[in-house]
Amino acid sequence: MKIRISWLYVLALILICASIGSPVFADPPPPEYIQFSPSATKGALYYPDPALYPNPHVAVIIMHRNSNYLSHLGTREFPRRGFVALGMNPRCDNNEALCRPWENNALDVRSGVNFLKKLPGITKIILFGHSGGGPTMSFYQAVAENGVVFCQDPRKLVQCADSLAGLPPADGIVLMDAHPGNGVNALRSLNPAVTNDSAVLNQNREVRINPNLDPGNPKNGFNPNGPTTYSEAFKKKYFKAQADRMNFLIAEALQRWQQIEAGTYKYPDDDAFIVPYGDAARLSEADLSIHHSTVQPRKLVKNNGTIEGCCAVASVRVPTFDPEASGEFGSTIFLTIQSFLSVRAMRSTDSMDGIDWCSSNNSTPCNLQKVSIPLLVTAMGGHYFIRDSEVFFDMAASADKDFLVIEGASHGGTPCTACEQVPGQYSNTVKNLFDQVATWINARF
Amino acid sequence: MNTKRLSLTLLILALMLVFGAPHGFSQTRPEYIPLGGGVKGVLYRPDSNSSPQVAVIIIHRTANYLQHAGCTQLSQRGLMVLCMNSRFDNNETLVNWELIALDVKRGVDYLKNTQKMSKVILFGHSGGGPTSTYYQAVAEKGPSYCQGPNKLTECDSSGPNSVAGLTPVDGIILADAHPGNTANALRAINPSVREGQDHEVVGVNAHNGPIIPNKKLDPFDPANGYNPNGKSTYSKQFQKAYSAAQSDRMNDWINQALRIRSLMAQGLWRFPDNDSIIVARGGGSQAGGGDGAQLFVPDTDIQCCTVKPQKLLQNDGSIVTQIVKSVRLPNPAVADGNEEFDGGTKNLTVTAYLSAGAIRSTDSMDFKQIDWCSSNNSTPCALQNITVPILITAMGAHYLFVDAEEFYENYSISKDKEFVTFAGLVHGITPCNNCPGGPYQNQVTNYWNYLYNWITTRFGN
Repeated sequence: MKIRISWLYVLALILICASIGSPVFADPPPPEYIQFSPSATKGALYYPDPALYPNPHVAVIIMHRNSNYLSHLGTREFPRRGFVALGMNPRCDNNEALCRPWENNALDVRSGVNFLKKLPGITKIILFGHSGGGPTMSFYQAVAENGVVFCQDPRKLVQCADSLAGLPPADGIVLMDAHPGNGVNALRSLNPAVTNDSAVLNQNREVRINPNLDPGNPKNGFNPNGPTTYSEAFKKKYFKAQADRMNFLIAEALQRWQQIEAGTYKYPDDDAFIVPYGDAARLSEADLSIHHSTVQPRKLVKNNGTIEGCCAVASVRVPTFDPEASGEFGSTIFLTIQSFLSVRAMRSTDSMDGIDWCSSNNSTPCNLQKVSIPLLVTAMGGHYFIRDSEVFFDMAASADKDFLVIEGASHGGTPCTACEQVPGQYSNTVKNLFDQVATWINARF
Repeated sequence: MNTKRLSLTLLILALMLVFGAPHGFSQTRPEYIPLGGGVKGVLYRPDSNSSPQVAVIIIHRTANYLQHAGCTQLSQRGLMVLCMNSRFDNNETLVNWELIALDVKRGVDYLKNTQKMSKVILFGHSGGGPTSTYYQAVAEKGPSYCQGPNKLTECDSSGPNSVAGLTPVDGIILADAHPGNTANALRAINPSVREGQDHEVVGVNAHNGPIIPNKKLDPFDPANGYNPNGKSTYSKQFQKAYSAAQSDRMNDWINQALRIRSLMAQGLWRFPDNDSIIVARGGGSQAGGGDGAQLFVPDTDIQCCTVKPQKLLQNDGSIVTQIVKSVRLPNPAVADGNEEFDGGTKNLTVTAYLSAGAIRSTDSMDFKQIDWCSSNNSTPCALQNITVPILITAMGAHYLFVDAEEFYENYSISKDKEFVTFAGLVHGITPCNNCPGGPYQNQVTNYWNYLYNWITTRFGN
C-alpha cells in the first residue's frame, strides 16, 4: 500500500512539473479573431499567459492606416509583459485608395477602444502608433479630446464627418517611429523633376524630367556607390520644388472635387487620381546628412539596455535610395481624388521646413498639439524619423511626455543589421523597445 | 489530510493541468492564424469534435471570408474550418490572379502539415469558385494548365512565383460560384460607352466631361425596355445586340491592355512594369462587382431557368427534380450606381485587368461563344481538369444556378459530381424574405446540413 501511494505521489509531481514546463503555460494563449464592422475592419486579440498574468488591466490597441497589424510585433511583445493587445486593421485594410476619407479610420479605432473597455478587468487603454499608426492614433485622440471642431477646421483639405463626435478618449499614447503624416511623407517622397504634370494627369502623357532636379543624376551630387552629398543649393531648390509640385496636385484635385460637387464631372462621387513619380524620391534616403540627428541631447537606449542622455542622437542608417524606383508604376500615387486629399496631401512652401501642419488631419505634429494624455515618443535609431520625432515631441501638449531613441533599430523595430559595424551590435532592439514601453506603461497605469 | 488523500488530490490537480488546459480555441473563439505572405487565416475548431480529421478551406479572391457563415456553420457540425483571405484582401487593383494559388497552398499545407488533417475540402462561394477550381486544376495538372498562348496571363512554373507542386485537395464544394470574375465583368460591362470615350479614360480623363451613352445600347433607357420602377423587359433583338456589344467592348479593352503590356516589354511605355486601367461603367472594383450593367439584373426573364430538370431542395427538406426557375426579384436601382466611380467603374491595373477582369468572347451571354480558357480565372475551364468529388450548389433566388447547371452538365469531368439548387436562398446563403414561393426560413439549416452530409459520407469527419 505504501508503495502505491508513493507511486501516485511521484506520478502527480511529475505531471505537475511537466504541465508547468509545457508550452501551454509558457506561452500566451492563441490570438482570438475579432470581426468588427464594416467587414474590412478586423482584429486579433492577444492575452498574456494567465499563469503569469491572471488579471491584466491595461490593454494596448495597435493599428496602422492600411497595413496588416493583426500580428504586429507588439501583439507578441505586449502580452509577454502582461498587457492585453488588440492588433487591428481598419476599413481601408490593404487598400489606401479606400481611405475615403482617411478620417473615418477613427471610427475603427473607436470600435477597438469600446471593445477593449468591455473586457473583464480592463481599466486602461493605450494607443500604440507605429509608423502610419502615429497619425492614426494621434488623430483619434485629438478628436476624442477636442471634438469634431478639431477635424472640421476650415484650413483642412478634408473635413471630418459629424459621425466622429463622441469618441471615447484613451489613457495614454505610445508612438513607435511614427511618421509626421502620410501627407508629409508623400511631400518629401515626390519626385519634383517632373515638368509636365498637367499633361500627365490630363492626357496620360509620358513623364518629362528636368535633369537639374533629378535626384538620381550624378551631376546633382548623387553617388550610386555610397552616401550621397547634395549641395545646399540643390537641396533648397529640390525641397521648394517638391512643395510646388504637391501644391499643384492639390489644386488639380480640389478643382475636380469642386466639379464633382457641382455635378459637372463625369462621375458624381470620385475619380482615380494617378500621379507618376509620386514616391521613392526622398533625398534623406541618399544623403544621410539630411535629418541625420536630433538637435538637442536626447535619451538613447543603448543595445545593452542602459540609457544615455548626454548628446544629440544620430541615425546610424545606411543609404537606401534607388534612382530607378521612382519611375516605376509601384512608385505611382494610385489613389482617388478623395483618398489623395485625405491621405497624401499637405500644403507647404518647402518640404522640410515650410509645412502647414494643420492643412491635413493626417498630421502627427498638428494632432499632438491637441492631445493631453501621457505620451511616449520612441524613434528607431537605424531609420530617418529621429528628427521628426523630436519635432513632434517638442510640439506635443502633453504635460507627461518622454522621448527615447532605440539604438540601431530599423523602422520595424528589429535590428538594423546593415547598420552594424560588428555582427550583433544592435541585437537587443526589440527587447529594449518593449521593455522601455512596458516600464513607461507600468509606471503610469 | 493523509498521504494517500494528498497524493490523489495532487494527481487530480495534475491531470486537470495537463488535460484541462486549452490547447486552442473552439469554434466560438476562432483563432487568428497569420499564414505569411500577407495571407490571413482564422481557424474554427469544432466544439463537438475534439479530433477532427476533415477540414474545409473557405476563401474568396478579395472579399473578407474570415467570418464567412460557413466558418461557424460547418465547425458547429464537427468539421475543422480554416477561413482565409488572400494577399489581395480588400483590393482588386492588387490582384495578380495566378499567384492566388500560392495563397490557397499556404492554407492546404497548414491543415495537412500543422493540423494533421487527413482530408481537406475547398469551399468556393461566389468568387471563391474560380479560386478553388483554379487551385485544384493546377494541383492536378501542374503549371501546364495555366500556361499557353491562348491565356491572357500565364502562371510561373519556376522561380519564387512558381505554382508547381501544389498539394491537391480531396473534394470541392461550389456555392453559387460564378463562372469567373472575368465572365462577370464581361456581362457587367456597359456597351453603351462609346469607343472614343473609352480611349480617353486611361489614366485621368482628358476632358472629364460627362459620359454620353449610345442610346441604342443604353440598358437604362426605357426605350430599350428598362423599367425604373419594376421588372424590365428587353426584346430578344436588344439582348442580342447588347451581348455582342459587351463582347466587343471588352475585346477592345483587352487589346488596349495587351498593347500597353507589349510596349512595356519593349521599354516603350511610360512605366516599365504596370499602369492603370479605368473602365467607366464597367462595374465596380470591389468583390461582388458593384453596380454592373447585366441585363438579367433588371430583367429576371433572362438567366431565369435551368435547361434540364435539376434537383431543387425545398424548404421542408425534400428534393424535387424539375426545371428550376429563379424566384429572385428585379433590381432596377443599379442604374444610378453604374454611373458612379465607386459603384460602376473598374479602377484596376493592366495586370489585374488581364489576369482577373477580362476574358475573350464574341457573345457575353452564350456559353459557347466565350473562350473560357483564355483566362485562368474561369470555373468552366478549371472544371474540365478536376477529378476529385465535387458538389455544385446554387441559390434559387439568384441567377448563377444557370451557370452552375452548365458547370455540372457540360464542364465538370469529376466522376463523383452532384448539382443541387436551394430554393429561396439569395447569393449570400440567406433566405429571400420577399421572393415568391416562400417562406424559406429552413433553408440555411438545410443548406449546411446537406453540405455536412455530403462531406461526411465521402470523407468522415
